[in-house]
Amino acid sequence: MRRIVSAFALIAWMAAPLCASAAEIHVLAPTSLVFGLQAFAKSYTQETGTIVTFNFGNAGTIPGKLDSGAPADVIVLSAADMDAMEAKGALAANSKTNLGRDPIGYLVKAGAPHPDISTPDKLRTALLAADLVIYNDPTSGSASGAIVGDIMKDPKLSRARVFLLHNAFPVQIVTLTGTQAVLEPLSEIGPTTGFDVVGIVPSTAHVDFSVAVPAKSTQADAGQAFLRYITRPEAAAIWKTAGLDR
Amino acid sequence: MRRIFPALAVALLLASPLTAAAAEIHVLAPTSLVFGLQAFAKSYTQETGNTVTFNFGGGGTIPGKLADNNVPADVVIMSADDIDAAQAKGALAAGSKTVLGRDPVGYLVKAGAPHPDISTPDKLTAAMLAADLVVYTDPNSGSASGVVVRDILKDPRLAKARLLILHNALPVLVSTLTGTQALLEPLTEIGPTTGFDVVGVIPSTTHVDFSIAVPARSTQTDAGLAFLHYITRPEAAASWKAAGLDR
Repeated sequence: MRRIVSAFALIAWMAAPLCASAAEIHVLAPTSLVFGLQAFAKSYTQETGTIVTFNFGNAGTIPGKLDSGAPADVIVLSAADMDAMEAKGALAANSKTNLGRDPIGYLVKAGAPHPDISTPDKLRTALLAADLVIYNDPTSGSASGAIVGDIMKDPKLSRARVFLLHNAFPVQIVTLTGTQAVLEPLSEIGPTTGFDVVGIVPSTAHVDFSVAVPAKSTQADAGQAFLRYITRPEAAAIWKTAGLDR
Repeated sequence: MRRIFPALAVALLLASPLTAAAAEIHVLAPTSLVFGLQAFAKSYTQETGNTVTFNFGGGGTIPGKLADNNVPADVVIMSADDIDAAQAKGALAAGSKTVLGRDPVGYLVKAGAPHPDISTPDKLTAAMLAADLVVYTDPNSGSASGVVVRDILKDPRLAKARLLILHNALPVLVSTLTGTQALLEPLTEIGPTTGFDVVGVIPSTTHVDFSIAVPARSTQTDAGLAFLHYITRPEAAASWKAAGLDR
C-alpha cells in the first residue's frame, strides 16, 4: 500500500508543474556572476514560481554555447560580445540592457600588508614585488584573465612571478602566503573568507556585462521578465553586494 | 492524455527499483582516488546492477565522516593509519580490513618543459629550489599527499622555495603551468588530464598508503564486502596501476 500511495503522490507531484503556468527559463551566464545571479534566481522563484536554470561558463565561451543550440531565454555576455550578437541579429529586438561593471580586485591573505595599487605604475611595482601573482587563465575565456593578462604583458613586468588558474575561482582554492596576490573579479568572492581586498586594479580596460533575450528564445516574455527583475533599480543594491557596479 | 503517459512511465520507473533486489552501496573515499574508483564503480554497476554512491573528501576528512552515523557508509577507504585507528576503536567489520595500495606523489611540469633530476632526496631539494614555483595540496585541508610534501618542505634548505598551496581542487585540473613551475601531486589525481609531463615519483620516506574496509555500522555488510572484493581482487591490480595506484 505504501508503494502505491507514494506512486500516486509522485504522479500528483509530476502533474502539478505540467498544469500550472509556472515556466522554467534558461540563462546562459559567465561563471563569475554565479553568486549574484543565484541570489536573484532564488528570490525570483519564491516570488513568481518560475524556475531559473543556469548554464555557466567563462564569459568567452558563452557565444559558442548560444551558437551551438544551448537553450537560452536570457543571456549575459561581455558588452563587446553582446554588441556582436546584436549585429548578427541574434537578440530579441530592444532586449539588450547594460548589466554592470565587474571590478577586478587585488586580494592578499587576510592581515597581510596592503601594497599601494592606486595608479598603474604603483600597481606594477606591487605586482613585481609580490611573491606570486595569481589570476584566471586568459586562454580559458575568462574576461578578467584577459585584462590581467594585458597588464602583465608590460615589459616591466616580465620578471613578475605568475600562476594561472582555470576552471576554478582562485579565492576558493588558493591558500595565500606571504605577499602572494590574487587578481580576481569582486563578483567571484561571494562567501569566501581569508582574504583582504586591497583595492580595485586600476585599468583602462574593464569587464562590462550586458544582458539580453536571444532571438531564438521560445519564451521571450518569460526571459524579458527575468531580465527586468535583475536590471530594475531595486536590483542595484543587491548587485553591489555581489560585487558588480551598476 | 499525453500528460498521463509520462506520469505513468515515471511511476513504473520508480516502482521497479523498489521491487528489484539491486543494492545501493555508499563509499567514503579520498578525492585523490576519484578516477580509479569511478572506473570500478561503472563496471561494477554494469556487471551486478548495484549502484555505487561516493562521498569524496580530502583523505584526512574521512575519519570524521566515518564517526558520523548520519553519513551512510558501506565501504570506507582511508590512510592505512586511519584505518588501523578505526579498527582499534572497533569501527570496522571483523576481517574486512584490506590493503588497497600506495599512491605515489608525482613531480609534474608543463608538457615539454625540461625534466629536473629528482632521483634522490638531495636532487629533489635542488630541483624544488630551482623551480619557479612548487604547487601542492594544502595539508590542512586533509590532503594526504600535502602532508608528505609538507614533511619534505621541513628541510631548512627549502625555506626559500617558492610555494603555492591549493585546496578543494585537483591541481592538474585547475593549473596552467609555465616555465619551470612544478606540481607535486598524487599520480591517481591525473586521470584524463593532459598538458603535463610526469618527471618522476618523488623520493620520500613517507608515503600515501590507503587501506579499505567495511564499517561495523554498515547496514549492508555483504554488499559492502562484495564491492571491496571487486576492487581488491588480483585482476583489479592492472586497473589500479593504470589509475596511478601501486598495488
